[in-house]
Amino acid sequence: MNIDSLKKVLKQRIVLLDGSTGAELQKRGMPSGVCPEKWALDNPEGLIKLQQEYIEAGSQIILTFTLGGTRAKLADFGLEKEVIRINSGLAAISKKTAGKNALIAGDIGATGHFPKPFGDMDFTECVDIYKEQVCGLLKGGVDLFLIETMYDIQEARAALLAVKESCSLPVMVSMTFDENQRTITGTDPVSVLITLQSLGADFVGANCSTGPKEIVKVIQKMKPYAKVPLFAKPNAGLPKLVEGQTIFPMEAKEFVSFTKAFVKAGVNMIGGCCGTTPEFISEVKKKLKASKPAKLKAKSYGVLSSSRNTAVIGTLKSTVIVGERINPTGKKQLQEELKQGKFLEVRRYAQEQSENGAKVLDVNVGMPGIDEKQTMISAIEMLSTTTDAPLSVDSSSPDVIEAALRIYPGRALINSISGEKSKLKKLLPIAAKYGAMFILLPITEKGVPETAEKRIVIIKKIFKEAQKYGFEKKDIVIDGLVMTVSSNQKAAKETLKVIAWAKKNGFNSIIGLSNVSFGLPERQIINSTFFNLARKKGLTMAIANPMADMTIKDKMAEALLLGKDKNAVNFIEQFSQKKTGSQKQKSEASINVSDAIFNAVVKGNKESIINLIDSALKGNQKPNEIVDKILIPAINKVGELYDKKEYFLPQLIASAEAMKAGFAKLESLLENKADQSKKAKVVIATVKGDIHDIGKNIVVLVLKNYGFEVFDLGKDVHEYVIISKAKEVGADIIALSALMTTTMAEMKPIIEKAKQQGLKCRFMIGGAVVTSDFAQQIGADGYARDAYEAVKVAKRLTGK
Amino acid sequence: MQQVNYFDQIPVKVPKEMVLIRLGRKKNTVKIDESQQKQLDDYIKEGELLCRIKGAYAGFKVAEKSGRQIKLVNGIIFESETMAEWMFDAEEIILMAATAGNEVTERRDKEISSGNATLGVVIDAVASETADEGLNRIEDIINKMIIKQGKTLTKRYSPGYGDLALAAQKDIYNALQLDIIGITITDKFLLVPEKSVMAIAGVIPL
Repeated sequence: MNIDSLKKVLKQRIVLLDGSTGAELQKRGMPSGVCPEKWALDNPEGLIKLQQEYIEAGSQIILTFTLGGTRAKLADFGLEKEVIRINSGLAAISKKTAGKNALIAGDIGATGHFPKPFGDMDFTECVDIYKEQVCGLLKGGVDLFLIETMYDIQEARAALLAVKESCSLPVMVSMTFDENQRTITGTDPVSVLITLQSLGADFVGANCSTGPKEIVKVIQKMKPYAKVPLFAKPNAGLPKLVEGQTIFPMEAKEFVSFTKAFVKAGVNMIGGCCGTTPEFISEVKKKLKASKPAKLKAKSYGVLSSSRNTAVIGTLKSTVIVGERINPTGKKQLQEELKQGKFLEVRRYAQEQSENGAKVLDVNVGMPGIDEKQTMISAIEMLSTTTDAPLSVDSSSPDVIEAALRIYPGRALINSISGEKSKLKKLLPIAAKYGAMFILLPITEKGVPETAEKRIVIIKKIFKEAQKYGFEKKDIVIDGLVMTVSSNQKAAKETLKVIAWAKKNGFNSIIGLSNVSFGLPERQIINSTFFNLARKKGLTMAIANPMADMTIKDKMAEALLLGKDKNAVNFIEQFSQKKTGSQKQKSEASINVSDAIFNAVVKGNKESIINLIDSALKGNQKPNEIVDKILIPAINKVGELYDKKEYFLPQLIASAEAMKAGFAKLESLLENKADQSKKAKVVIATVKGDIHDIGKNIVVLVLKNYGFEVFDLGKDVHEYVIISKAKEVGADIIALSALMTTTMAEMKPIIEKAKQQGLKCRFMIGGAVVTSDFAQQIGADGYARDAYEAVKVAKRLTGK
Repeated sequence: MQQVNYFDQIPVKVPKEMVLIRLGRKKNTVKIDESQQKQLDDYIKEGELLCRIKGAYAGFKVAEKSGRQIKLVNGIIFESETMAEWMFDAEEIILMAATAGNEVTERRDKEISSGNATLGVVIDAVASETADEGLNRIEDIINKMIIKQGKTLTKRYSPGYGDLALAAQKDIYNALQLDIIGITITDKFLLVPEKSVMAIAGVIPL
């Protein structure tokens, strides 16, 4: 059999792969603790016999015994310099064994390390490790490659690229899934399929995992989108460890009972993994008899993928919004961050846009003063782990686009490829190599054509070129080219004509929505209306600001009217909150100022309290009255709500901060300022060696709100500093905080020394590891579990 | 030297329920209005943006064990009766660590000192729970890899809890070379960044 005959067979029958080799050789005497590959190379008889048995059982493709044959794995046995010798030797053994009776697939497995962005291995290094193994396997004469038992989509990509960049032999790629049909790093079956088939895998599948039942589900999920044949190599169920031996309890009969399900699910090739034997393969062959494989029937629309999700684009689905906000143009804060190599704003835009309906995120980091390529790589790596949305790589530089596509663990969209000859020549091969979809921009060196007809001429030319690289219509998204109607009243109509033409001719389409209204007032109305007009013409994607309400309002109203929003739950949730908000504002205005100040403290509204206090003062309310009759009762009310557990920590602190803001406004106006000297004094610190202070800081805030004068010494404070300060200010209380078992021991010496030096103050302690028993043991007067309890204890200890 | 696996960016969903529990919310009694809830939700999201979870793990064979201690082949001795009991059947011990990074605690401190302690407290809670969630993810990954060998991890145990001294953090720190992922350790065995966590688990038959 050769590859050509394999392809013919695949159209007519389901092809049989082999079963387990490593586990089976162990049963047959391979010692544990050795390097399996080296052992088999030095003792080939067992391997040869086993592979002969698989061929006799019906296997049409045999794997080389090289699952752990990378430099990274062989290094565990000090064999990292023997990659070529071991892989070529084992491939040659299998080649000889198979003769003309079976094809030999070079078996490639995981390295045991995860490449970036998830792991720490550089992606290029990972590809190089695999290239070395591929080289050895090619030398041994393999007919094709099988990359298997992959845990991480990025590692699978690295191995696939290593093969594709080394030779033109076919390559099968399979990943291992858990009981929820996700890989270890969270990729679902459809995202696996889309990513790998677009990157050039000739066959995609699932192996190992928890057993045949779960792998059937994986194949079922992949099939509707598969443009390549699918394969499965399940384990014989989950293993058990019996007296140090790994045993797979599932027998051949049970394993084979899943064969029909696999055929129905749509596999084109089937074999077995750990725990399966030649008997299993023989029984599967009998069960298959003359079963015909299901035809490939991938639905005709474009699909993008991230490492954890897919976005389907096509006329049957609703318009996909591409979030445009990750772009430094006009965004000072984002520009500053990118210059410093920071990405908080990028993450924020990603989060906000995804929450507001963007299914794809456009990523543009082009600006002067930075290394665009490196910044793009960092942004893509970061976004790959923080958002599920597939990404659109937006740059005018082919180098930047290529660098991004290489490391992106999914199928990306390129924004964009135009008819400019030099760019077309550079970008089409890059897009093809990495399997990206691309936005086709119908412009040339001559500029932007005004009419739809001229744009369509360019579209046809670009598509003709793209077809040479294997692109189909659904891989391409035609940009209608939106120009502002403020300078050309026909602009919108021409764009709509292009969109209509795209739909009629089977292409996806996209528009940069906000361009249409540039220079005009009420832009959102224009954008929204244009969006609706374009959708009626068949628009499939729009680059827009998802936070611009109009776009989302339209989509939500449409979903409601078409019965897609059950019980109008989403629509009501989105819009009734806003109505309630304005109603609330009206009702707040109608209550008197005193109540409003009280509410501001209770609700923790520090933004409004200053204005409310100003209103009260203008209304001739006395500052002391505001403090005594409104602020203090309000904070006491908060304490009650906290005690009743209606409030918890954030509300307590928000109220304390509102109180603090209000009190700060009034402090200078208060009468009887001498009373301030009667405030109880608290010296507070986190003890020496301890750097935790958040709890202590909250206690400081709340104590101040309740009228204590607080001297906060910070964290990691020496006992000498604490005692000196307490003496200096005449502290009523020394309050100590510690969070670790190693630092709480510092508390007792402080209390003892302070007492020895004649201080009459009381001692209060707190912190995660501290208890009331501990407080008693070390001679403290009180223990507080939290900030509010600290107030109660402080009041008790001082009688204030 | 034992191979240590490092993670540069572990995708983690903020365990919102755990954050709220850490902040003291009692589900049956809490009564806050929509705007307070929205503020809380917004602050939790802000905390999520600031966390970048890195991690590391490595497995070490058990050299000796008794009812009071476990000794690894690299010489580390964990003295703890509870741990020895939990991991009695383990022939291999996994050491693991995760950190939420510096950015979140720097921001927390900035917010508290500039008058938004509410935000500071919430993102502090988010960072603590997200770092823990990072350890959960590492455990999950290891479990999924060893299940094929018929193995699983025991419940995890951490230095400073029960009868395992905090000083054990130093041994784990050295074994995992955590400086590689930006973690340092003080002479009081505190980890920096503050929102860093370590744990130990045994590999046992399923």
